[in-house]
Amino acid sequence: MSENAVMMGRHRTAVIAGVGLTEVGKVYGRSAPSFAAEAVRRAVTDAGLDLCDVDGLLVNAGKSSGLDVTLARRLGLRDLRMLCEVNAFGASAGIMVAQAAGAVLTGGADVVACVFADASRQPGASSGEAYRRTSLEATGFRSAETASGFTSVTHRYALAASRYMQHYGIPQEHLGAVALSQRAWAVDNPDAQMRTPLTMEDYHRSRWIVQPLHLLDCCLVSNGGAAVVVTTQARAAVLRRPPVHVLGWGQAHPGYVLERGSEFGLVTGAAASGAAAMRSARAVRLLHIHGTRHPRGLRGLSSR
Amino acid sequence: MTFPALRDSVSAPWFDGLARGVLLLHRCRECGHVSRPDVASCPACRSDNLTWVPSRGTGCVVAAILDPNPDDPVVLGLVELDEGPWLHVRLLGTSELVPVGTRVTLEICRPGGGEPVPSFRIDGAERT
Repeated sequence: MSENAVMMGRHRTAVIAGVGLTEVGKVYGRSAPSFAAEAVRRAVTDAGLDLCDVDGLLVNAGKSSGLDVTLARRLGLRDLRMLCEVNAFGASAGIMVAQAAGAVLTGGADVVACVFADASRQPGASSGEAYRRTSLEATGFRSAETASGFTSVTHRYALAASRYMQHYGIPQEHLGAVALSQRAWAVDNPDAQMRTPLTMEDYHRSRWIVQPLHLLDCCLVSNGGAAVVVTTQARAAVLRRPPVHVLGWGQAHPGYVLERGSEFGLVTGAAASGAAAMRSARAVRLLHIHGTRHPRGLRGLSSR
Repeated sequence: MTFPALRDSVSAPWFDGLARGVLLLHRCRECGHVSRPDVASCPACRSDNLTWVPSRGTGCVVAAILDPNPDDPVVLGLVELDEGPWLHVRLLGTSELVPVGTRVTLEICRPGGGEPVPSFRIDGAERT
């Protein structure tokens, strides 16, 4: 990291030069590759570049099938110097930007498009169903947990939340506060799907998905695609958008063992990855913590 | 809706144990550490020289959750076996969340007619 910081501070930085977002939400009748292609095209156009300029493509597929490196052919991309799928689950977006930034700084590629798209939500089906399949396909040891009732990833998040809340004495209102604050941001965001202001009463009234997680603790499951274009500061200098500098990044996976003394549910990698990422940042005024269930956001915040 | 457990070649001895009424755990032949049945290397010393040992089938609740599914409301939890490993299991004998530390005892079930799985009954709770 320190070499990165020196390189970025003294010489040049990686930048995000363009962003592309498709329609997002209950958008049916389109595949993930279709969303992904549109998102990449929009991001490249937003940057003031042409698809011919793209020499790197990182693809993160959601739960639906079909999105993979063949997206390059679908987009007519040729002579790429970087092409792969990235899957670090909820960390994929950040990790794609970090890998793209590393590549443009070391000369591995010059213009890298990073894209996520998903079309797992089906008309008339619940959000939960979109994420249930992987749990139910389990065999062996894992299938004993599915058979016992751990039929979705939300059950596992609920378990982590339960442990976190009990261990630190966190009341339900603290989870509610995260939901309320996220909604408050969404109210002013024209691209957000849920823009009705939320009260603590609304939070407590929302149904349990798996206690201690209310409906309003869980993320939306959305169809759509999003892409960014990562390039060098030098390249971006002549482009149409003011670049967003990628000043630092860090990755940390402390891991845990499921046995006596385990830190399951109590810690995240944020303490280590955050410190690494902020090494070259002079002043942090805005912190965004990603988590598909609100307790993850709280854990990430308290890790600092 | 229940989803039956399905054995594969690695888990076959473990499911066979449950069919005999025994919950098997892994014990490391190098360092003696006892771990979950699904580990491929000892969490203490990383050896893959593991053998099976029976659990006493007693432990306590580390965390509990409640799935209010109207068809099949269930209390699930992480149980810490007295030997040390934590298992994801169904908790029997309660319809509500139970406090951390609640003592539990092994009771083997066969959800959906599949392979047997370990469940744990709250100590002192009557069978229904």
